Amino acid sequence: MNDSRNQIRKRFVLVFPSDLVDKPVICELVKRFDVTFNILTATITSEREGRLVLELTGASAPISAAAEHLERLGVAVDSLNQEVRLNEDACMHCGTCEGFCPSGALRVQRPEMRVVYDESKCILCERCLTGCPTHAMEFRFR
Amino acid sequence: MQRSIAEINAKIAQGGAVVVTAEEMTRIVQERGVPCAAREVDVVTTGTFGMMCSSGAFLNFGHARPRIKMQRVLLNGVPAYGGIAAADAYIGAAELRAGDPGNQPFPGEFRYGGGHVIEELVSGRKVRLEATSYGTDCYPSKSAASWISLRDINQAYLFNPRNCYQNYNVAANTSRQTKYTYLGILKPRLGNVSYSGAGELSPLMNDPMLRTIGIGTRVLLGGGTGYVAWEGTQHDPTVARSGRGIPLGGAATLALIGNLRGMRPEYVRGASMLGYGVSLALGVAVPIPILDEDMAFRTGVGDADILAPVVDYAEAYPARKPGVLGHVSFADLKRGEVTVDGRAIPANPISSLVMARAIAELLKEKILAGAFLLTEPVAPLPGPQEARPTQPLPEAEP
Repeated sequence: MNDSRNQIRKRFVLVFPSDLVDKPVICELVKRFDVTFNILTATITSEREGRLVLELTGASAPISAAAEHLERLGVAVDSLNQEVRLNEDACMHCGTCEGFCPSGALRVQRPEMRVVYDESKCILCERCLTGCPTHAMEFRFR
Repeated sequence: MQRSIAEINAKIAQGGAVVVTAEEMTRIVQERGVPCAAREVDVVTTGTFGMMCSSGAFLNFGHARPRIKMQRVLLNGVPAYGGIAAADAYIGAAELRAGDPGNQPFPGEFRYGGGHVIEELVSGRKVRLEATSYGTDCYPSKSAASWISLRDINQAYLFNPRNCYQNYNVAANTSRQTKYTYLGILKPRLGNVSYSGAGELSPLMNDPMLRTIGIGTRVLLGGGTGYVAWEGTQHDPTVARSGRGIPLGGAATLALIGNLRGMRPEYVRGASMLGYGVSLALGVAVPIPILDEDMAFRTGVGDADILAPVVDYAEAYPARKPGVLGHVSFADLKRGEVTVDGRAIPANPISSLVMARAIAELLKEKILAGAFLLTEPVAPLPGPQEARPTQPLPEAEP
């Protein structure tokens, strides 16, 4: 089993071609490699491709092997080097984001009523990129 | 106990006035009682900061050579109203950039508009002016273009027809689809409610009967000096009130005027509301003189005393159907959870209490420093007895 001391978490953006969308790819991944997964975002594009933001947890070697396996199947694998950041100067602490952020990464801290951002809870759904009234949420490359 | 505005101003000039924010006053009244608070406090500063779509700026650009009437005016691509005298225009906060796709595809992003142009001007940035016209003997040019900034142009002042709404709807969504509204994004099936307003810190909640706020009252508008110009549009203090005189829904409003020069960019912010449009997030602070025990009682209002109506923005609001889903207190709204129909529902603000507190503090500091004196109203605003109840648009004849 996983040795928790060597556990790492890595996020990937996976794009599935339309012929793979109906295959149990992720399920197989867990069976073949010693990794666990967390689906952060799942969408189907207008070209009927599947786009998945996946977080894999496990030791470094099985995670790399799992990613290589996905590429062999024809999945486009991008290790996620983008992150959503809060531009403190642009935030006016209005709280609009608390209404739409699905993971609680953006929330109003009470009673101060300040907006706080916990990046570790962000599931990269990207809603804040258009939902924030002052465009204070930005995509940045790590 | 009585004190006049002249007496308060004399104390401010001597540096001896006692000035507290409306949140501080609420605690003082709760702990020491109305008579004591009335004796000790001279001025209460109130503040609010939120999207105020009914805002805009009059600008005079100066005349081009040769002259042009400036019939059609664009500022950074956003149309400004040019149907006034040559070289004047009014840029409205809610105006979209020319060619903005609106809500196609839905929900539209509305990334730039009039509110953003106003923010750029206050920030000291240059703004592209493009004007066209039909040409006259006295104004021969048919087009002109230039860069303008707050430093160059002759006049630039906000003149906002409707600010500082006294109480407002809390928005809910009973439908099965997400709704994108001017009160934010509403999750389906009463997934959340959203609200705008500073509650006990809000200017018109601290003078609910409009005893001290009138035409000519000096205020802080966008962090600079401004004045109450008139009653705001949709001003309707005739609405039902709670036992202590707090309106149970949208009531009084203020038309405010103030020089863009002297405003601070943090209090004048262009805003985009997904699926709705553009706006201007604006900070306003209003001083309330504690003339007597009645004003101490009024400014002692707490969030628990302020009830706002929960309105369904899926059905009732757009169809202008009467009826509300209930009333909730600002104490619960600020706590982040309200009860509607026996269900606990998360509540999120869309206005900034952080910035409302900051501008109320700024006004307090200015008064304490002797840099801001209080004013007697030149004329009262229409009160509950005099105002005309707001009417809907007449139905068209077939």
